[in-house]
Amino acid sequence: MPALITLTLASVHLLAGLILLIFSAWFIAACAIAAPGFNYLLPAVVVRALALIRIAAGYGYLYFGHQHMLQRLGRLRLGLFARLQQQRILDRAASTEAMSDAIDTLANAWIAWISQLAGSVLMLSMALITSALYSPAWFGFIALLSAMVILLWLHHYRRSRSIAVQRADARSAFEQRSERYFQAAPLWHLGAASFQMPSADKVWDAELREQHAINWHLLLLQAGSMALLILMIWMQDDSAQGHAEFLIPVMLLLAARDWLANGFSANQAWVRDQHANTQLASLPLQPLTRNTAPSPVTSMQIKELKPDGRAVAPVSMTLPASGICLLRGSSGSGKSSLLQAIAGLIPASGSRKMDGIPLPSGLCDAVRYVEQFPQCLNATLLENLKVANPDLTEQEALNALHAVGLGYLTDLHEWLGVGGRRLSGGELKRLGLARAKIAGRPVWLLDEPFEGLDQEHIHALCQWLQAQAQQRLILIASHIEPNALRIYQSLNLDDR
Amino acid sequence: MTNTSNKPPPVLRDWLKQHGRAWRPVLLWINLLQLLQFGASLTMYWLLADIVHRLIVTDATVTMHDLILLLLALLTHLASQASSQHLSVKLQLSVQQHISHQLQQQFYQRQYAMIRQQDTRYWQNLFIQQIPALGRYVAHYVPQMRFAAVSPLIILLIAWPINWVVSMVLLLCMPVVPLFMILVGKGAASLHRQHFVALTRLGSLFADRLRAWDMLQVFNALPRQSEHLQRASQLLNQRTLAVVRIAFLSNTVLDFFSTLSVALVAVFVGFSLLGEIHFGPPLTLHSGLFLLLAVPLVFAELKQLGRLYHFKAEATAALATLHSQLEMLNTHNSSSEFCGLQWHEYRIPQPALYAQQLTLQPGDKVWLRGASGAGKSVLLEALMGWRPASHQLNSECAYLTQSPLLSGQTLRDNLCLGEDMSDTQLLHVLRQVELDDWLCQLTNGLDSQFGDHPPLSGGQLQRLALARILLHPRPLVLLDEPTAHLTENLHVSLCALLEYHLRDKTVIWASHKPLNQAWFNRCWDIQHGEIEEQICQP
Repeated sequence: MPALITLTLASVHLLAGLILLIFSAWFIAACAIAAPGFNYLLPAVVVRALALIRIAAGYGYLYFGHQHMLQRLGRLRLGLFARLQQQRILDRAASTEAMSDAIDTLANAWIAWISQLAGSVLMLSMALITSALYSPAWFGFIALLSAMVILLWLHHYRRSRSIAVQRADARSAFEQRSERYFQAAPLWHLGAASFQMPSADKVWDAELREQHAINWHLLLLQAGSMALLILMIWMQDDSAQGHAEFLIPVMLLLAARDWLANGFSANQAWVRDQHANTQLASLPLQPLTRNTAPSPVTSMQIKELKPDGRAVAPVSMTLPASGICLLRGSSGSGKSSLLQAIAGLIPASGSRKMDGIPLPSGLCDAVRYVEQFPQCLNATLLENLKVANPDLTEQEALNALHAVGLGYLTDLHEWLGVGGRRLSGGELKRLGLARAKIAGRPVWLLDEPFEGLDQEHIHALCQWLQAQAQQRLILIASHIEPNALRIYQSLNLDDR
Repeated sequence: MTNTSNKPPPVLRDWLKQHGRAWRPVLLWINLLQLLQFGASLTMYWLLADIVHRLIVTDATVTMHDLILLLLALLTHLASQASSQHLSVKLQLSVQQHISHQLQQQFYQRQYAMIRQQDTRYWQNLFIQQIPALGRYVAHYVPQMRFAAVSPLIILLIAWPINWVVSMVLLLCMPVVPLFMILVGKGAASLHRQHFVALTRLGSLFADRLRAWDMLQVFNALPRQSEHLQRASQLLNQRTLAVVRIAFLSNTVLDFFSTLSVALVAVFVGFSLLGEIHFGPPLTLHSGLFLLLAVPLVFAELKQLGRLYHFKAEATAALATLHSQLEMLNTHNSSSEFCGLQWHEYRIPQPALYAQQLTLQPGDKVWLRGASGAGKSVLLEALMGWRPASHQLNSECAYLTQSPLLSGQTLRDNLCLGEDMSDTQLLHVLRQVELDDWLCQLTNGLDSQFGDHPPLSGGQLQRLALARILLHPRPLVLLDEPTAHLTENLHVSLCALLEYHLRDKTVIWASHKPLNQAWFNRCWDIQHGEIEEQICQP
């Protein structure tokens, strides 16, 4: 329904504008040749009424169109959220961006192209029908104009599609090559001149060609419609004399560019829409299940566990119910992915057992995994902690913050992230630990908790972890091995 | 960096003044072509109105001459439009290339110190989004802004002799338009400011939760976040609509005046032609129709400017981001000769490290000691100039990290780093670091491809990194725990290799594992945030 209102208002806006121009021209001509007794008051009223209709429809279209767009946006976002509920998003940085862009594009569809294209098509068919009914002499010209416009639209649509493909290719090529370039940045000092920033020219070029295609098709449209106009005048015998209606096809052809131009930008938006749809259909996702394991744990066994798709040797170990265990290894040796496999976040071969009972695949509720770079939500501090436990009280939240050395954050309703306070890398690490503390759980998997902390903080953290480890198993992946840490068991992934 | 965030965001106009000198002639040409196009379309309207007048009112026939004139005007119009668009596209590309070049200069000078501050995605987006935003602003918004200021005046001047009443009406309308737009714009801006923080917070919610997806899954927090998102999107919709409802008014004001002026002129001209009213010089269908066609042009360019307005908004945001990256001063001067250093009161602010004195002579071998996490890497990175510190090295160094980096796709890329090197040279160095046996196992030899997970052990990777340093010699070599994750055997053999090949260099070697004390002549010990110098005699 709101879609229909948007569509109608957009069409009325366009139509009223065109009719106003044509009617005004006709009115002037009619006045110039008016016979005595010409009723000039009615057309004058119509002209003003048309102006008012156009203005009102224009505002209404903007208002309802955007209202509809925002509703659609909310619906699409929630729909995607629901769809992803049982999924894991692979390649997060790139695909989250692509997802929100795609959703924006889809939400914009009615404003960006459906109502534009529909308005243009409507006006074209109205011009055809009226001229066919009213004057067969003009019908030929209007039909020629329509044929030309449709051909131009089709051609532009195909052109836009091929440019869009080139653009997507150029962009992914640039992204791949520039990623390699930026990742090699620590090596630049060995020969900066030899590391060439990959050029983004091809990406820009594709964008400029999109613009160029619209410009050229508009130019052709204008040239064609004006040529038709000149042809019409040339073929005109003296039958026009005394006929103000002659101005109607003249104005139609003269203003053709203005009332048909929307079709081309609509084409471009349409192509983007299709791209957004394919993007959303082909998201890199991985199914993720969740299981509730028996909570009390006396031991955890890992047998021949190997994350899928990684060229690392499988790992077997038996972990105690409480105490600190350490995973060592150079970066790339697979510490993080092993932790994620133990948590059940990524698919892996091999088995995990709690007290000898095999765990089904998927996330295990008894285990909490804290990432190497814990994510801070754009939300209040309290909301960031409630992630771990929705029933958290403020006092518990403050206690947890104090325990991990974030006691100086006392305003639980302070906004974090974009538009609020930005936490440093070390603070984020401790936020992750506070979440683990709030969640409780018998098993913690911590990814590089000491990185970026200074000696004193590491020492304090070790003390705290030691206390926490009395009632739970804490498995730490770290390349730093603090002296203060009493390690029950350790495994070096580089040794195998 | 932190100090730039306190500065007020740069203004587009100032930036254009500073950098736009080279683009000025092109911008002028674009404006001139726009003027030509404008003139051509006015001529077209004049000729057409004349033809229509003769066809409908007087009995004169249309000659070939008239049509050729009309055709000429049309061709001029099309040609000038095409060339101004062509120039705009060219200008946009050259603006983008200019900024991109500047940015690459910064990369070249500040290297990893700059890159490490943001993730790869950020840097890519500068090229994909921010730079094109500035390009579009310069090439499209700026010329349109100037042209939109001139074009209504031209119409006024032309309309005046035809009928001063119409001109007067337009003259009255015109100052009213910007006035209304400013009033409405101010209203929208203040409303926007009130909601701004709320809008950015709510608006980023969706993408933000997607980014944190893994974490939310692990903590089983998705149901709660879904509810959150639903509430937030309702709230966002209400507030956004409240803001845009006002913002749309400025759009409508323009529409109002342009539509109304057409209606007013039509009625005025019609009534004048009928003889109902008599103001100003007498009108004919010719002049009346011309006025009707020309009047919308008064507002057309302003409307087009309104349509391009988002270019300006995007460019402002882009400049705020780019400016901080482009305007950094380069304090790092590299000369290849290392002639020793003696620093007092050396200080690294974050995380805090302090040394009363640091001494390093050419040929020195320094053992940088300290517990894991004490700050050895921090010191080495600061020496490289990758972190802010009170002093910096003024010579080129080579840095060997804990986990060596694979840069290119093939073994050769990894060793050459873009320089031209002969096979014999490469094979010689690989033999030196005892990788020749491993090389024999590779099917494609030097051109073997490395996937994401290379078939190399930690020890082999370190040897490869050492080979790289031998191929790109620097007088000063910094080693950051090159044997940290290796087994005891590998540690011993790699240490021997490093000691042998780096015997002529100045070396700072960070390690918490035991090393061959006899090889070193200095020790730097890091404890509790302090670096202490010791001379260790062999």
